Amino acid sequence: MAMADRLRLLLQAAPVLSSSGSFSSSSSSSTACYKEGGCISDYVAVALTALVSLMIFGGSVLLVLRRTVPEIKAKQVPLLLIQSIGSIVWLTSLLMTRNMFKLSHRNSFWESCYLWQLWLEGPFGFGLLISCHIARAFRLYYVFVGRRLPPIRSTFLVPLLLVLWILLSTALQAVQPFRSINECSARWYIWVVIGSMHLFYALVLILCTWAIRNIRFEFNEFTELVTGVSICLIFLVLWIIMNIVKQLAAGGGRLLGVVARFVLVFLGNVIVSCLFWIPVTRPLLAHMLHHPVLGAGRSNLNYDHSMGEALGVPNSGLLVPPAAHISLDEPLESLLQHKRFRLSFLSFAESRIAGETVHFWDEVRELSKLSLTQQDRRVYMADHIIQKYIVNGSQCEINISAQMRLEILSTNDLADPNLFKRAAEEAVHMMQTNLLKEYWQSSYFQELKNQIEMDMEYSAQLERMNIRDIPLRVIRNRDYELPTDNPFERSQASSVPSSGPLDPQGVNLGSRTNGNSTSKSLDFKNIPPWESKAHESQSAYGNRLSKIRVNMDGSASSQSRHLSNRNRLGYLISQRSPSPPHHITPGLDSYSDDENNNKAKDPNIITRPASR
Amino acid sequence: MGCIFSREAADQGDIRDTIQAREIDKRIAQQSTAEKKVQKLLLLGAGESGKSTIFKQIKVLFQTGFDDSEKKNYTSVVHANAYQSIKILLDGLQEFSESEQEKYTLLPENKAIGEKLTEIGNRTQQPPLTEELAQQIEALWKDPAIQASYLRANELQLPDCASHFLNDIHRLAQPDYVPSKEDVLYARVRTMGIVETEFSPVGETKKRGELYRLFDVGGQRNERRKWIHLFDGVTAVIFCAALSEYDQTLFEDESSNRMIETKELFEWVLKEPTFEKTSFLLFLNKFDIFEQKINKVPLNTCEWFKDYKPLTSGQAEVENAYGYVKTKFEELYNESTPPDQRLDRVFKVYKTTALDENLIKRTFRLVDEVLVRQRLMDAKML
Repeated sequence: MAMADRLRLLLQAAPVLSSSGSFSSSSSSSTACYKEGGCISDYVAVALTALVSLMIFGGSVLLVLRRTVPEIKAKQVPLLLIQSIGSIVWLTSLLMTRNMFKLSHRNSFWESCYLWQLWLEGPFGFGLLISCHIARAFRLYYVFVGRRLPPIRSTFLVPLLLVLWILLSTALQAVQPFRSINECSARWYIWVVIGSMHLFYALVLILCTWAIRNIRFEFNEFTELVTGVSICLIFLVLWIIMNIVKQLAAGGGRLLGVVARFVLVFLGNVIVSCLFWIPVTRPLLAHMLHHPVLGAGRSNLNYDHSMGEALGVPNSGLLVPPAAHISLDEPLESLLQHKRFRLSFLSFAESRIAGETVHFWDEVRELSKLSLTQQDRRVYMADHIIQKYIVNGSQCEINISAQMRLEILSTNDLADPNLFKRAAEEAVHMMQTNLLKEYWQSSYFQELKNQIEMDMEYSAQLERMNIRDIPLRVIRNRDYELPTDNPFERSQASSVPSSGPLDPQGVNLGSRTNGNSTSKSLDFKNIPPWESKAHESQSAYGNRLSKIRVNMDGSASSQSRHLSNRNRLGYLISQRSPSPPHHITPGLDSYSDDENNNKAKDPNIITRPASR
Repeated sequence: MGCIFSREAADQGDIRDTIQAREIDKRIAQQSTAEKKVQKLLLLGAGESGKSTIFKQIKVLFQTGFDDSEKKNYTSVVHANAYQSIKILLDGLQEFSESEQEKYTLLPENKAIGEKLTEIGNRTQQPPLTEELAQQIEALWKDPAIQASYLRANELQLPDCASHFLNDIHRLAQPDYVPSKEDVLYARVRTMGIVETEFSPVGETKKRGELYRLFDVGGQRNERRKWIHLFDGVTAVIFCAALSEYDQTLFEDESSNRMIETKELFEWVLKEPTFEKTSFLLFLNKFDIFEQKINKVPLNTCEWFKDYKPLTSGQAEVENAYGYVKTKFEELYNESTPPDQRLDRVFKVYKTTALDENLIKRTFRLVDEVLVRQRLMDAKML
């Protein structure tokens, strides 16, 4: 109680209009709880803050785990993490500066008002929160309005933005505005200065948001920013009103003070929650709801889809023209347009740890499918490709010259259709010189040939049995388009047959070779189990299964074999004979047996080595 | 063996002998399994240091070599190299003519050809090299501006095979052209990913020796991330460093000097924990180009060699400079290896020119000896 007396004396001397209010000698419960904290509303406020902080922490963890999903990646996860740190710091500082706690060691550094009000609530709390949004708006402005890459990374921009506030805090620290180190009471103009700093940052955010108002964003960044800004403004206005009311009603202000600080903390929680959860709720929920058990294990329905899928790139190019029309003498670029070939080639490239070039080429191809009018989507995709493949030290950096890299990074138009043209050509050149020759001799190519032959055989059998229409398969292949009325072509162009129409295993099997499944999974991330032992039994050519090994000593002899194989396939393709090749026994039963074997040994999704 | 012993003792002797015999058999078996074990060799080094050329030499020397169809496969690569080289020189002209207009301007009759070849060089599918194109390329190659640009080739990313192919362009343009073995070795392909082969160096008595599994990798910075897949159980690392690159910049970063990059890379590889017992064989490669260059461009243009002082000139100077570079690499090795580890692993330096078949054959003999000796030492220690 001695301390309370001391404080009373101090405060009686000063014409203070702060949150500590005036004193009366009678220590009613409201006074005691007003001065030292411990009101019921205070406990509620603390509990609320703790709850909100925990939820934000949990949300951040979820974001980090799911940071590769395109919709979440577009929100810039590092910025979101910084924002959540800022939020938690700010909420805590709101609590600490309102005399809510009955603190015993009032003179310690950790309860210093300077720390909490000047530093943690200001630059590292509210300032951090708003700066993250400003940085996000800045990046969006540069990329979408300016169509160039921003000169500074967003995470480096945030400290820059805080410099101003830090300077102000330093200045205030020097001036020593607070009466004592533990009481957050100061002259009214100090509060005006601090409050105006808050307002200033909010205004900057409004300006930045206004600058990007015309862009239609794929992932709703603009609406989220606007929501965030308006919530901030509402909060600030309410805060100002609250403070003014408190000063005006200084006399009977104790109860009002208690209520005021509770409302402040409550509002702070609300604003922080809104700012954090509004951007991330939809993508996180959409992502999590598709897992059968939330996040536990990997389901067959693979939701780690690519940016191309997220932007709605049409998944065509598979069946038109049908696989039988692949001529293996085409240049590599046109061969790669056929999905089956592309998948097979990709698996081979990944076994040689050179997969990133094929992925890059594929994503550039997807970019080219976005029409020129969809500028914002093109920009998203181009930015994604640059961050993933071009930037120095990126996760899947491709092997291009410094000049080419510089050309792409210093572009003035991210939506330029020719942005990646030269790099893609270089990628094709590298694939041709490094991988193509060994691909023809590899087991991956053998498997592709087998699959094509099996397809042709199956469709020939169907024709013999007069089965024309296979509507169930059409149901499953959502992206399938019926090219002609020719039943032979139609059935031929469909997927590898599976045992049942809507069998989920069948879906998986179908997704092995042509990637169409009820889930919108991107096929080239599902490694077809070329490595599985199943295809050894099926492979009629009996090649040795060496994945990485390029046996140069054996190549001379296998070359001639490989040429004859190619010619053979060409013969099969050109003839399209309904009579089965001798090595595949006719009849559906044996075929489905093989295929059941294949299914049984079909391993689950294999994780790739390190091309991520 | 048991004749001289008494009967009882003979029984015991028999048992002892059987045990001994079994021990000997076991040790022989161990030795032969150790012999049959495949030795893993890695070819590491910065970009364009000669790793893939060594890889090709292995095929030529110890495997079946390149047959005609394989050589034919290199035709497109050789032609592409020719087109790229002339294109790079033409682009260099653009760059250089900004400062010195006159020296780096093509003769008027060659301007159209220059544009045409720049355009061809940019395509993925390049036209086959016809006699007409060969003539045009030759005309450009002889143009004084291009020759001036060639003198500053170290500022461009010109492949080392440029002069070999451009000087001989008519031969390459023959309709029935099949690349010679030399052409195949000169052909430049930037390696991507990891390539593997197995070979066995043929011994003096024509008996096949150790079985080696050799891995070739890409040398650019993004490719180095993939090396980690190979780092386990390596018998020896053949580190290729191109001697002649001390005045050139990196393909993937034109602000970094190639020799400095090689130095840092060598340091990094030496300090790799999985290589504690791995032998290091340093191939100081491209000695032929180094010989030509050392008298024109002083060694101390490179930051690392800045305290080199040329003493003489001519061939003695070449040997001097080479000795200096070798010493620098040896110092680097000693700095990066703690003293106790220096006994464990072997470090040898070889002067190589990857294009020279005989030299590589002799080098590999030496390498083989070193590795066999090392392996037997390890086996005895086990």
